Amino acid sequence: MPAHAETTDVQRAANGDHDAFERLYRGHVGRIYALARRMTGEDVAEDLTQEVFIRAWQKLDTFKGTARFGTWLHRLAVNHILTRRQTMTRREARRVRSEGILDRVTSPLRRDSGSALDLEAAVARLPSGARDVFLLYDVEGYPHSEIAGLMSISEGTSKSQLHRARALLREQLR
Amino acid sequence: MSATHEEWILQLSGYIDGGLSGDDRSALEAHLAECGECRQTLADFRSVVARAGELGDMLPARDLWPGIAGAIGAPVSTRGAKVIALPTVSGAGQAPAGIFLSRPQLAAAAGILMLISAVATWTVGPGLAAVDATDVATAPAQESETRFASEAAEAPPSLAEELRSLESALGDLGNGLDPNTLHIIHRNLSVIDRAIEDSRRALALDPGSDFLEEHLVRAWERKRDYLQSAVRVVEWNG
Repeated sequence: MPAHAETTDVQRAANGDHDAFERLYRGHVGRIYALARRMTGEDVAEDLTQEVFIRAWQKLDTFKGTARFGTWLHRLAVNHILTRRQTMTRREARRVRSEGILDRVTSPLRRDSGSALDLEAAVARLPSGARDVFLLYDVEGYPHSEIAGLMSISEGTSKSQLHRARALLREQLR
Repeated sequence: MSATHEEWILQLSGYIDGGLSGDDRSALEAHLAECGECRQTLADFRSVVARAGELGDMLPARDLWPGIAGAIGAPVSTRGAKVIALPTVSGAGQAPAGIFLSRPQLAAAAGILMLISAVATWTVGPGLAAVDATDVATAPAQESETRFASEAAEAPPSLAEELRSLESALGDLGNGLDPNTLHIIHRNLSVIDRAIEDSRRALALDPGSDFLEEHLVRAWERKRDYLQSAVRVVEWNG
């Protein structure tokens, strides 16, 4: 979607235009869902994606337009996913854990193909702290200073988690 | 005192990201010139970083908009969408897949609804009768009613609003539907509702059971998925 069209849709949505907000949703759902799925797993990613967009609708009046809408939405999503993950119900947490266990049993890495699918599976196997930093830094392009703020960790911890993630991925993928 | 091999390795991420000071960078580069293992590790790290940058967006297997629309007070669209995504079974660790179909591929409404019917019956579990042609032929007159009785208030809070919205949309869209199609929808919803009711009763007898709680939520989710599929198909053929 061209930037000016998106800006118009953001303004319209902030004034209560549901159609404009649906266009924004369609334009950004792929990136937000991918983030949610990679950070939490397939089982809760859809719910989290819906929650992010509902929250975005509620907070549209706080969007000042100093950054791109997509940037604002993505930060809102990261914040929401990190917060929500801490307060997941026991049942949700168990489902996510079960899914992870199932993944390990049913989908061994195909070490010879080097496909994006292999990397997705390898990322899913990372410890959550290392995975979050890897996703935010290497996939999404956040600087360590911002990751530290989002995750309430030091920049040094962010850097060491990134190194750990890369080292573990290297082991899994080579 | 020179660094150990492990200490050199620890600096490789910072080196890739441009985070080393001039002296540290020079020292590491001197080590790399001599150490094939560290050069290989550096190459592997760079490969991981390059591939991370290639990870793309993913689309959910179902359209999430109806749930969002319900929560923000937007009407669920009754206009024909450009594409529709039918739920698919995606394997563990795989990127989610939606099946995107063009309007011509959706021309046969009855066939698709029969497919949904079969899927819904299969997902509810064994022991429940499938809807067959005899059922359709003997569809009672009262099932031309296009309102869909809602028990959404009993659903988990995360699903209740979406269910209400979908039932309302299906009720609105159902006007003018072929009675047999309407009958299939009613029958399949009643099968799912029976499964919900069974789970509820079992949970009432054993309220501490995580398994039964899980089972009940899954049943509500199946109802939501079925309603979504039905709304989409009806929209497309309206």
